[in-house]
Amino acid sequence: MSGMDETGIRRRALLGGLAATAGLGLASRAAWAFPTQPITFVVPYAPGSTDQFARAFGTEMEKILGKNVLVETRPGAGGTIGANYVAKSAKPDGHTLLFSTSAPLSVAPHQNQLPYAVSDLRPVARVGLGPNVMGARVGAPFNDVKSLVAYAKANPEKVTFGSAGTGGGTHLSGEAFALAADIKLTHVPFPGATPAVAATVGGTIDLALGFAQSIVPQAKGGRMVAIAQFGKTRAKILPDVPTFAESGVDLALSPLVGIWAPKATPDAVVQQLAAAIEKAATGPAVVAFAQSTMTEVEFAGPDVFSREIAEESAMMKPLLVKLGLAK
Amino acid sequence: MEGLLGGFIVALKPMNLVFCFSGALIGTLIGVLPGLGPTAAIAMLLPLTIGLDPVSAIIMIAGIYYGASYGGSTTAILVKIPGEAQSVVTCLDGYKMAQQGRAGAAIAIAAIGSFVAGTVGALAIGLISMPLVEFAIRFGPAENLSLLLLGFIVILVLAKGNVVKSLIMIAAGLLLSMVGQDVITGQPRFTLGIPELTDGFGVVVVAMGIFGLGEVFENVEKFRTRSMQAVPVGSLMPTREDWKRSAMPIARGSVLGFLIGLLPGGGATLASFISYGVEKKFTKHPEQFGNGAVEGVAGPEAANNAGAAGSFIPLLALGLPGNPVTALLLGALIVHNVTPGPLMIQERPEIFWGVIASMYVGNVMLVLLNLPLIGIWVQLLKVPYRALYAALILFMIIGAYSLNNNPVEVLLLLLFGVLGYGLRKLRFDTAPLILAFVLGGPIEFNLRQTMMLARDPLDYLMGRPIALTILAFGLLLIVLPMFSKVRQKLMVARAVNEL
Amino acid sequence: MTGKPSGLTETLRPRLGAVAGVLCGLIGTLASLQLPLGTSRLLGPGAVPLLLSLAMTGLSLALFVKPGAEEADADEEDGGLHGAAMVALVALMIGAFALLLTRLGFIVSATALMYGLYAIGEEKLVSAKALLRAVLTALAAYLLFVVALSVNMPAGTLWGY
Repeated sequence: MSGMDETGIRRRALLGGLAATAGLGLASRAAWAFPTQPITFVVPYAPGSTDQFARAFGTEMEKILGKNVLVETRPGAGGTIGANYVAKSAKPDGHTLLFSTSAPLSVAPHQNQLPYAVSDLRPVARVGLGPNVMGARVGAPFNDVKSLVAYAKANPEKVTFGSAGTGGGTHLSGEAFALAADIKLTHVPFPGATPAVAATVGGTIDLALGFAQSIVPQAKGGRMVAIAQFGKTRAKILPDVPTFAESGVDLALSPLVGIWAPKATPDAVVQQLAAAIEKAATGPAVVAFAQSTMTEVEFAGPDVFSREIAEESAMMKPLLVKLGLAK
Repeated sequence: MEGLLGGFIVALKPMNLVFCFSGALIGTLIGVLPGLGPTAAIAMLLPLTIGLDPVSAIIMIAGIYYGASYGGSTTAILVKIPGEAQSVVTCLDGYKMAQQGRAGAAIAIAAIGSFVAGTVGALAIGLISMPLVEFAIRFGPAENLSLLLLGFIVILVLAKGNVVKSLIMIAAGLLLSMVGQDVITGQPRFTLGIPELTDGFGVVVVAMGIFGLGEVFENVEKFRTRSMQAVPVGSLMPTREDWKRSAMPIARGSVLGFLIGLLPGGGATLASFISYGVEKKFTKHPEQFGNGAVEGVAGPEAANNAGAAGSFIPLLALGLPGNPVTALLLGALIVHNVTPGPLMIQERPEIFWGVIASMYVGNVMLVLLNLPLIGIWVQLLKVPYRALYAALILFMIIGAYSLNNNPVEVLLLLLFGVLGYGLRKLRFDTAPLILAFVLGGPIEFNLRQTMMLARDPLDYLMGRPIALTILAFGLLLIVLPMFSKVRQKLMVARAVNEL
Repeated sequence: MTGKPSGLTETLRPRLGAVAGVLCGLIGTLASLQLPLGTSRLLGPGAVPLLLSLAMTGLSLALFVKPGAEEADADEEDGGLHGAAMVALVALMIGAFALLLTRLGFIVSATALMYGLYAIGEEKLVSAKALLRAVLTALAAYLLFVVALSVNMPAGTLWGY
């Protein structure tokens, strides 16, 4: 990290560039030098959760790629400021990557005029699949999906659910549930997932949605009831909480966490990165992180990930329009 | 009690003492840099603790937190640059004291006040944390709202000079706090289509700009007309009179701060505001407030430190952080493979009690560390201002940039610096603006949330005795002085009659 | 009231503040009216700002009509036109720094800013002392923040980072 190092890096980058331009014949796949300098994960959220996930991956990828992996937080505007930075200001050489939830690419584009297009970022790998969990306050007149739906049908709009903010993932998941179960809930937004969980623990509201990490410990401690998880199937780290599908509500919504590169990043670099990420996903630092944060770490390559984002985006659009949140 | 003893055994292990001390030291050094506060310090140093075992890591991080909070008060007093919202109030009288050559006394009082408060806070956590936390989690939007309104009344109390001007500043501060995405509806307000404004203005940028940079501009203006004499350094230690006047404010600040710190959405900042207002009510010298009253440093400094201790309780007892700093600590626990939650006390008692015991230890270390350092910090005032101001500007810029790694924050800092300078030229008191800005967002949010939850507002309020009690207390704060004025007038009238 | 001659006479000053307040209040009112006001149960995003903007307009009007006496601490002297120019210069340099930071990188832009500020402090346009101090300050800040505390200050796109 000293000045000496940096000039060294610059010289190497320069040599690499010269080699690449000197003769295309020489530039076989093996000669394509990547990585040539430290890799930076740009996390578009304030320090505290996603950046820790990125750090865990960074630790493993350093071992695989032999270069430092730095994590830089660029929070703001629901993740779109950091996403825009990678889309527009980062060199498309694979050294600057976006490590984020899918919201800046599947939700934000429907809500606001953004300075970047979805196509400005190319998916490299999906690394996390939530899971999101719905929890109820202790003493609520329901304790599973069936009784919740029955109660909400009998008392429209009486059940309150807390989200981490209007238009965010937890709000949309809650509304998607209400839509799928054909019930009416009253949405109460909070500035973040933790205040919503705290309000449920305190009995101010009936339901809270959030990552398993914020709800399951409360449920284990007897201060909340975990009602359902949002994944298609039960997450490995969460075998005891039923899915919505099991409870008769046709709904599966896993928040995607993944890695993107600028659009013009070469295919070979994306492939190399995806391979490194896949290997890192089973490394000890990532496994330990998954354990302690109850995160479902699941690798998927660029193609699967692209499809998932497109599906999510297609599902979110009508929902946002219906809620009056679309641009 | 048994748990606490166990905690001391953990905290007093030589290794943990070292981590506690180095955390406090590094935290102090970072906090003393203008523009960097506890949140920044923890975020920067978190990666350093990765290799440590969880208990040591958390002890070190808690040390960083306390140290950075102390350090922030130091810059607030010396150069009027608050590193975090919780030292904004300290700027008011602390900086005035420094200009009167009493910087050493102000810092010492702040250090002792924080020490007492931290110790009281740690003791309270050790003894009665569980019943307290049961009380605290019952706080819903209505209770938060009444508490915030109490803080708001305090702003009215502390406003000085022309009342209409203060009210204009309050309205302006509240309006500024509404810039950004509306949390309830998700709609952007007054953002002019600038993405960086979606989350509103950051408290640190606003406070640092209006107070810190505004003050620098004010001094730059006078380069030519005033020979920039360095501020006199004066005696390093508080006088006997200072001690006498500070004792009760520190005691009150400790209790108040601890109770408010417990609450979600309360925390150290609100605690310091309320303490300031309370002290201005209790003092025999209200006219000195805003002009270097030692009570105005002692009370809020005790309150914000006790508030910091109090805000640990919901985190440690339930895994529910109430403010950004404790949210970062939650992240730190997770990094160290500890899952915070209601079961942590049973599953990992060494962490819960170890952290609490380390609070005592940390506070002792901090006071031992900081009292000798006062002499060094005060020397800073001897640096000629024409050279010092450049470094102050650079530090503030770096602090602003590092908040979000975004140069737009530097432009916002500049904007608020110019605003602060302009307001001073127009003879507006900027303190009500900043305080209203800090409280504005939460007040509006809790107001609208309360209205969403309450189908019949009056009925809803009647079912919430805590909220009612707080509101009644606030009303008393307004009404009582009126009574005493009326009584004074009556007495005067009677005296005149008797003549 | 010190009666010192200054850029702003003491009768004009409070009125100027009031005018600024009225303007801000009116702008706020107009901007709030663009937003939905909602109902009394579900306040819209415009409701609270509208109320505040109206209050601000009213209060500023009141201040305009009755400016009231200046506070006791109003006896501080002004820096005059020269002082105001200095402040504007410093502000411009900070603004330029913010705009150039990403391109030039931290070390270069910080050195330039520091040189400007020290030069203003010395009131000399060219000063070897200011340059030396500027380089040292920028370097020290780099070592402290970027190297020791790993704050991510930009290295500068112009140099190929």
